[in-house]
Amino acid sequence: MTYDAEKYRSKREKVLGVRRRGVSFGTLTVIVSVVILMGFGALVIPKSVAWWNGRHLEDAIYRLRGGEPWPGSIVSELGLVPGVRGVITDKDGTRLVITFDRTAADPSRFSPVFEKNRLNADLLNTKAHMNDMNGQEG
Amino acid sequence: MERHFIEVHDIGKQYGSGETVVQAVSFMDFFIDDGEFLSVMGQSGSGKSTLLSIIGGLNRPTKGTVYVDTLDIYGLSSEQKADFRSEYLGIIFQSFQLVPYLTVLENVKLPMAITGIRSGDQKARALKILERVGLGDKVNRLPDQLSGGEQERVAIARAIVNDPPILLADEPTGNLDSETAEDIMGLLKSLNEEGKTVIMVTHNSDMCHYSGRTIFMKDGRMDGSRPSGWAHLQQGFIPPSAQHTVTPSARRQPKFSKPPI
Ligand SMILES: Nc1ncnc2c1ncn2[C@@H]1O[C@H](COP(=O)(O)OP(=O)(O)OP(=O)(O)O)[C@@H](O)[C@H]1O
Ligand SMILES: [Mg+2]
Repeated sequence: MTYDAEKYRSKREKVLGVRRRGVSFGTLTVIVSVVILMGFGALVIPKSVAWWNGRHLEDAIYRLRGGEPWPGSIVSELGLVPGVRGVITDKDGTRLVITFDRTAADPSRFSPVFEKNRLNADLLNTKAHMNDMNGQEG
Repeated sequence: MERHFIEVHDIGKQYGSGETVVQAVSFMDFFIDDGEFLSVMGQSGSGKSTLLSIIGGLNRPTKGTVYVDTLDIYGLSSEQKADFRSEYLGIIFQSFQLVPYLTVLENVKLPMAITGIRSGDQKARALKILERVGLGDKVNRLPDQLSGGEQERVAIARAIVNDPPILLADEPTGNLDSETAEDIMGLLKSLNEEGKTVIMVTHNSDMCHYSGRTIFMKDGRMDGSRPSGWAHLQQGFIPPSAQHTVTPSARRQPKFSKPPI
């Protein structure tokens, strides 16, 4: 069969790039990589920074022996103890969570505050503050 | 100068350098027309696979040029060469090279991943091709749940799914029993009859009669070429290099006016 230059013209032109196509495969690869890296960075970098900053923090969780709500004043008073970074009570006020820097404080510093206020506080648990950050960002 | 679909101009290929240099192919110079079915025969190590990979743009020759459809394939940029392969070539390797953890259907869809065909269309097309090669009922199997002949069919389906005009097949029947091999050759033959140019490497002379022409290689060089019908008539072709053993009756075989090379 003699050679027919027309038969595969469109293929030839595609190879030679005569017909313009949207984005080249190379460009597309670069774009996709950049997007993936940026997305990955956006997810990972803030978490890493937060983890680094929060790696010394610990939570001590208390409950009053009778199960009654915590008086609001205790929150601000505990906040004055050196090394304490945050104090919150949970929704119905029965749990008290003290976030503190473990290099600067420990639960023995909190007991005098409870005693002074005549509160029978039971320490339920202490745990690394960072565990909380996975689900609820800080 | 008259042009041909595939033009191989005086190519040579050396592997390695210095003391260890291997001259795998030398002085190969021939044309292949659109729609031809060409066999390349020769002993192990004669350079058949090297020649095929050079024609397919997969292995840069150390000398010479290859034109396909007037494209100087080793003059193309790497991006153009990738387009060249996906537009023009279907390749069936010596071993089937199927991805073991993908199903038959997924294996056949692979070459379409870079062509920008919509995924729904990809599936339809892959299924149609699998039907065509007789595997319509096995599309969800994994390669190792298939017989050798069936795996070969998957490899062929994958090679033709982008509808390339050229099929390169390296020993497509090399590890199949003779009956299955005949089956596969029938499939390649029918693809050739539909218009595809098929270039097949084999060292089995029984397979050559499916092709229109056979070229023989020895030590990296062309060792003659014949219309395949002639080779078939000889029942066990004797290449020109060994022609002192050709019997007088063999010499009386019809002469073909002018081989296409
Ligand atoms: N990548 C390579 N590096 C070095 N030498 C190579 C390479 N590939 C092939 N060769 C050598 O080139 C020669 C031709 O090899 P090729 O694979 O083309 O032969 P073949 O005819 O396909 O053989 P077979 O029938 O065994 O597949 C051989 O001597 C081989 O050892
Ligand atoms: Mg080989």
